[in-house]
Amino acid sequence: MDVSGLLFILDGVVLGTILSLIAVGLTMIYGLANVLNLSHGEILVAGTIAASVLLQYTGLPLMLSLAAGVLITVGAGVFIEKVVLRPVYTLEGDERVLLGLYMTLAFSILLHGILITTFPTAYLTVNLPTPTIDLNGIRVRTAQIFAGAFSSVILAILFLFLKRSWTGMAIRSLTQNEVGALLVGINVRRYRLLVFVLGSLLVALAGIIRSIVATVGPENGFEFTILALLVCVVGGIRSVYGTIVAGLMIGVVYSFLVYLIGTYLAYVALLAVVMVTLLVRPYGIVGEKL
Amino acid sequence: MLNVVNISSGYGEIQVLWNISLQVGEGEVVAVLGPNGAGKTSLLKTIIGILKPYRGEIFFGSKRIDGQPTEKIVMEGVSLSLAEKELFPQMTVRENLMLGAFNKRARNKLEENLELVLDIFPRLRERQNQKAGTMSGGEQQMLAIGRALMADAKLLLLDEPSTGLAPIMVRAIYNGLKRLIEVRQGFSILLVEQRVKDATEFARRGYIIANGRIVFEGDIASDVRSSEFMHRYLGV
Amino acid sequence: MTEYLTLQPMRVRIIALIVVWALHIVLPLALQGVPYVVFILTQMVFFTAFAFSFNFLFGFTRQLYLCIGAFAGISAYVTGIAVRDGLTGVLEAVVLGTLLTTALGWIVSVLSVRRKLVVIFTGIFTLAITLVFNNMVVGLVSITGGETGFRIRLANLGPLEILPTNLRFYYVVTAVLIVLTAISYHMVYRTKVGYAYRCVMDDEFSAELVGINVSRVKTLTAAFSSGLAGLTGALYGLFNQLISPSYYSFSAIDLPAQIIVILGGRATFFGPFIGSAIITAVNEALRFLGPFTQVVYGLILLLLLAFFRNGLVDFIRRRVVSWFY
Repeated sequence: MDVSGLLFILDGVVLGTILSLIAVGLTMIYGLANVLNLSHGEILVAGTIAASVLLQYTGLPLMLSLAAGVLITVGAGVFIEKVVLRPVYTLEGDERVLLGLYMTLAFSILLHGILITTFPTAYLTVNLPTPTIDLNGIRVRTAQIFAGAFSSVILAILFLFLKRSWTGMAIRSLTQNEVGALLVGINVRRYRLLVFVLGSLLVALAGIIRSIVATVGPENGFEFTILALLVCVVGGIRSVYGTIVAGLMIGVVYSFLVYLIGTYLAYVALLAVVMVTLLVRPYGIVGEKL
Repeated sequence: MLNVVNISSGYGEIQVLWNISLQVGEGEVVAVLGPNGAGKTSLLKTIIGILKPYRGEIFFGSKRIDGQPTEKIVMEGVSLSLAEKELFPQMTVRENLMLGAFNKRARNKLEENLELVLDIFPRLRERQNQKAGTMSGGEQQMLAIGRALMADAKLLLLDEPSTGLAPIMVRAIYNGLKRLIEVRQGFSILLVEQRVKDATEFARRGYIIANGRIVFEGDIASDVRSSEFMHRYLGV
Repeated sequence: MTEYLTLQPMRVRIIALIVVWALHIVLPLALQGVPYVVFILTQMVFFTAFAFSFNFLFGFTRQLYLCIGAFAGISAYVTGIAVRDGLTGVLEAVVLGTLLTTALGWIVSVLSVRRKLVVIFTGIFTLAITLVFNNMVVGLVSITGGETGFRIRLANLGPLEILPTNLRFYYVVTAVLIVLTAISYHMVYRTKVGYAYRCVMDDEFSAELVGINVSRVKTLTAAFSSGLAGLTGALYGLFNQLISPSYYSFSAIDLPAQIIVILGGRATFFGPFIGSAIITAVNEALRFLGPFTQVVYGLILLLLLAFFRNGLVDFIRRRVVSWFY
């Protein structure tokens, strides 16, 4: 095991933080708007594609291209909230969840179709000008460590924001009781939009950080959505804290399993864990009854 | 301070209020009584903007508030506490109260109002760091009222604060409210109640609503003692 | 207006069904000369069957099974491998596959009901099943042939050999559909059991209060719908003579099945027939688009959900009726 084993743990932690970053947006959106946004991963890819295209075909410097990508993703998120989901908000409860699920699924298919046919080769890889260290013959890309650090910092900021700031508290309150939030004077529609913006922003950043570690291509959208969904389920579909923890756990466990039994079987094992979680604790490891 | 003029309101196609007119003056405590399902809670919801009226006007001070979004009405200085409580279960008592002061105007007076609330409801002070969802019904009701107070309102709408509570809790709540009007000047309360006795101790003037219409308006403190009155209007 | 609608709903429904059945029986015979059309029609009825599977599960009992394709695939692979490796005869293989998925579907339902899973969690759970299926099939290359899958020879369908080759599968599936819809229609609208069923469909909670065993209704429906998916899947595999994961993926089976059900109207008996016919026609019309079809399907689904949530049939019916009044 020794050092190469440690390497997999590093892989796992970094993957975990990225998964948390993606999943946390999904959780917040579900918690607040009662919508399971199945196009979450697709908008991530829309952003990375935009950045990739700008980098390849225009002289735009890296940072600006990435920023443009982020803007595209956030724009897509806003579009989903304001246009795609409009018919959804007239419904309540189960009906809303189902329609939201289907609308975002349909949009995801639409978006995927457009992206795949228009930009089939728009891959994004961000190479950080950081060294690769040699530890006893094992090569460690410090870029990976930076990626992990970036996402951790973002998660930490998010956590503090939700805990301490007025806006963060408002968001939390909306996930717990919409009527109560109304009573204290919170503008529900404005905050719903805000949460979509925030979720999209997080997923956009996750996409960029991911491209530091591995190439992100137009085909990866659905995969990200599914992974995020799995993390959310294990962490508790309405719990931000649980989702972050679950992301880390799953990242580490998954990387380890890949090392042990190969990609396909590791994925199956992960799915099995999720299925068991659904049966035993449908509201996730944090297990609140909401 | 509050002037409700000929309000008709309801839930979509289901009308529940017909031509309701009432007033609450500055510093007054006014009661709204009536049997179950009469429309009392709906009236409060209409005033706070959760329900949009079909017809009529509502004035708060000189401003017209009917049809306005709730957050604007709260900003103007009206606050509602529902019998359903509608608290934030995973947040502590303290956090719930702080959120009560969400509107910009209330934020400046947060510390002051918080002290006031904890003062009139000592139970809440004891359980400051307890999660709202784990408290008893009575404590939750206290918290709901406390949260409404944090909005630095000039008019407090109280929806059946004693519903489903043990007498001892009801006492505690009403004592707290009495303390409140001692301490605060110019502060008005529109109190919806089913328990006539408590309401009449607290409010002098009142309205009775039955089947969505006002059937009585006037001094309830004295009249209500007559059992004929009680029977006629309240079916008691 | 409503009077007209409720005037003779049963009669209208039965007539509609019988017309649809008749068309299904007659059409391919008339079009025998055009093998391509027969091929398309066969595809159509296969998807009608898949749609029925989804419809009974979600439309009738609100169980969101996003694993119809996986069930179909599991049955197809079991059947295919049994036939390929000569383990059993064709008929036995199909029965085996069907029984397997029946059991799986039943187990999932029992678990969901027992754990009181909300609709969306059942959806996620079954989606996980789909993913497990896909990954296992691709991962266990030695048995399944991985991404490419494996071919099987044209199966001997016994007594059905009378029919010309290209019509065989069509009539097998159509026969299944007709028998199925006839029996279930009768059961749902004409028997006491069916009455209980309709109560559950209307309001589960009240049905429970009245004493109807809601879980039994749901689990039995799940078992039988999953069995249907398995049977159809096995037949589909034999028809294509190629068992590969792309034929049984979410986008290949579940998605079209769901679109068909939404289009034709949830919880109806002729919805899947109509929906499948329309979708097949649309599919053919859009063939020229190639990879763009995905975009169009996404768009169609969006529009359907936004404006025709109760199905095209319902929409037309209301328009027609309001036109008279």
